[in-house]
Amino acid sequence: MRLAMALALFVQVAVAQVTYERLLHANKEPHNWLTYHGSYASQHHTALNEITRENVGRLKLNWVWQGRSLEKFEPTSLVVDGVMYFTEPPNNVYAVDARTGRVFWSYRHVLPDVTYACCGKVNRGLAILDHTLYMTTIDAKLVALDARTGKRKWEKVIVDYKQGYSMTVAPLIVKDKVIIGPAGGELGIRGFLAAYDAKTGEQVWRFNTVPQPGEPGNETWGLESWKYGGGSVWLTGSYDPDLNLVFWGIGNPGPDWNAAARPGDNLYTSSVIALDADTGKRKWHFQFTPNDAWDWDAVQTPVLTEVDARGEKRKVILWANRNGFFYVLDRATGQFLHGKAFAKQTWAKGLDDNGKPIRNPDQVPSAQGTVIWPGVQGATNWYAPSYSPVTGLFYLTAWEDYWSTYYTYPQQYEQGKWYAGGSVKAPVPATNRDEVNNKRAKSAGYGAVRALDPKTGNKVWDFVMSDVSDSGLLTTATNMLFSGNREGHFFALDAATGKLLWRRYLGGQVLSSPISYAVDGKQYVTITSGAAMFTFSLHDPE
Amino acid sequence: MFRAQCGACHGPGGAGGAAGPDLTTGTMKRGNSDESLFQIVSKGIPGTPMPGYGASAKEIWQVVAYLRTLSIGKAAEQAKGNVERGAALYTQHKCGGCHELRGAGGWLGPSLDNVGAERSIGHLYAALREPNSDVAPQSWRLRGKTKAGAAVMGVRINEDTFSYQYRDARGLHSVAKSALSEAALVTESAMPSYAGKMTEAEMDDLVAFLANCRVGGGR
Repeated sequence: MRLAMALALFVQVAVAQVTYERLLHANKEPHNWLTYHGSYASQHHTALNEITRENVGRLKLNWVWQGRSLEKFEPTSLVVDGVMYFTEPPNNVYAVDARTGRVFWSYRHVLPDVTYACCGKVNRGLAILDHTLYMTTIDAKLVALDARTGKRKWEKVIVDYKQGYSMTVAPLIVKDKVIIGPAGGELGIRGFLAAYDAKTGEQVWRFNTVPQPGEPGNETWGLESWKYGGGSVWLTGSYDPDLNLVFWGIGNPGPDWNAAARPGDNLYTSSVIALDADTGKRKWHFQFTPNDAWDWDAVQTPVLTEVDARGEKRKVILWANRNGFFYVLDRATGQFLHGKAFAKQTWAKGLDDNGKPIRNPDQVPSAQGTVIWPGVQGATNWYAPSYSPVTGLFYLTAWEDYWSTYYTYPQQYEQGKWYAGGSVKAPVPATNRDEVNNKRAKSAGYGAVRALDPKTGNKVWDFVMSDVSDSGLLTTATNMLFSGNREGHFFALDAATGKLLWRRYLGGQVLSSPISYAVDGKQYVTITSGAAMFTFSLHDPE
Repeated sequence: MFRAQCGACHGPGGAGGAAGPDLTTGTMKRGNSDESLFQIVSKGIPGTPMPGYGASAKEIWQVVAYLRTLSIGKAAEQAKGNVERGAALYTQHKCGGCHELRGAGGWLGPSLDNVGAERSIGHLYAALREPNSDVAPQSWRLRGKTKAGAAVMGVRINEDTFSYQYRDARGLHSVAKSALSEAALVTESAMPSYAGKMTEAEMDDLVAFLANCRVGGGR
């Protein structure tokens, strides 16, 4: 008997692995959260329906995972068949029991003493394919781990971090490739999006987000400015399997606030690019902010759905941009369908028929400082919006009435040094790490969970918060919306009306997006707050 | 402690002296496990010049740890077999069915990526001949039964007051102790003995191969 059990244990049978087919049909297994955005369409919506507007008041804290790092905690977890995988900054990885939070294994990536992350040694999460987890690192490596043991399979240097590169993005798996790119838009990098063989880590294709001489778009960079042009990649894109296109938002041009140093549109910065997933060839691009002078990275989640626009049902991307405008784009062609401002902005008079901004020439950074809406962190940013197929509404976290004073000055590039060509001041701090108490006037800027009608871009409702929020959103099949905020609250709203249904004070700023999953038929909701992760369900903790 | 208490007989570097054998070969004649070394150091070997060392358990463990350093990392140079033939035996005997090595193989047994640096040559022989002689707690297995009657069997990878975490061929699992009607830790190895399954020369070859499994060096 004992021998038989021992043998049974050591016969290798197929563990359910996360095939590409499963990723492709992630919406067929809503109990799991298989990719950073939950599915290739990146709607941040769960089909799970145990938690409802009627019973959400009975949500119980099931477990807390306490991090040991004081870096900003920005990951979105993956959940695969009862196991949750996530990163702790800078580059540690954990596998925990999704029902109890108990740890199966952990992995520690050792960084060099000096690295070049612009804004904290953060990491946003993992990708999984078969039995392998993928993570990018602050020293610009791609690491592959065995999901069953946490053992490293291989790691590849993607780019020389000493030249100002770092990597924080959660990879996107398409077929047999791992798609990633580097951050470093404030350190004079030259960005790219690239695909690597999932088995070996060898590069398969690379698209330069700042084109080199001889590549289309290089002519949009005057004064040889392409050399340190930025174009960072730090938020995961989306994928349309029918079109075989990946859609990816690209970061700001550098130097950030000295646009005069880089005359031209500065393609493909502050743009969305659509690339063939097999070859990396560009199908189309759409630039939200040509010659961006404000640091408005287009690092938002490309939300894929279908809406009625210009008289017919179109396959679209919904995009609320850091620059304050909401866009609806045809995702086969990149055609601008419609758009309008969703929060206070003063830099543009509006959008023309092609979606190009009609710029207000006075609203640019200056030596003496110019007050401009939105402020430097944008009217929204990288945290996930959500689209609910139940309500047909698009939801985002907005920074309303938020402004900065933008300064510009000339600056020479120096390797490994901050290369922003200016500075900014704002009454709302970039994070709440230093000033905990909020004693600002509402007119200095505040936060809102905002529902938009994607057919018109009109506001449907607002859930107004005293402070701004860096939390993403999750909508549910049961007509709810979960989010957190900088104040440390985690809450559920009615997705149809914005009415508050439930809240818990978790005490630390929320810097990630909620997810939902189920194990043994029980639905859970997870959010980070501070350096910890909190998981709730309707059931008693196990 | 070693130089003061042991060096007179075993030599100041442990390489052997007038009355004591060489302790750097990686093979301990009287037992290769940490436990047997502890017994020998603390109680001595009756009928030989080896006395017991009347120190605290903590100090004796420190001596054992030091003894390990005399041979750990030296397995590759002490191995006398043929590495290539050993590699073929590794494949032939399907060691990779359970053990991971350089990114390939199984995942239920311990990884062998760095086994040549972490184990003495004596330990490698002992592990192949008598896998049960010295199983580290991190390789112990949980065997139990749930109150619902389901068998639980897997490598224990974490434990707290209320639960076990373990892995088996199906993946990673967590089970509440309150849900188990039976639970025991199996301290024997799941690995079969290879004594008698290969010739002594083949054993030498396989050990030579394992001794050269080292991260950032070896073969």
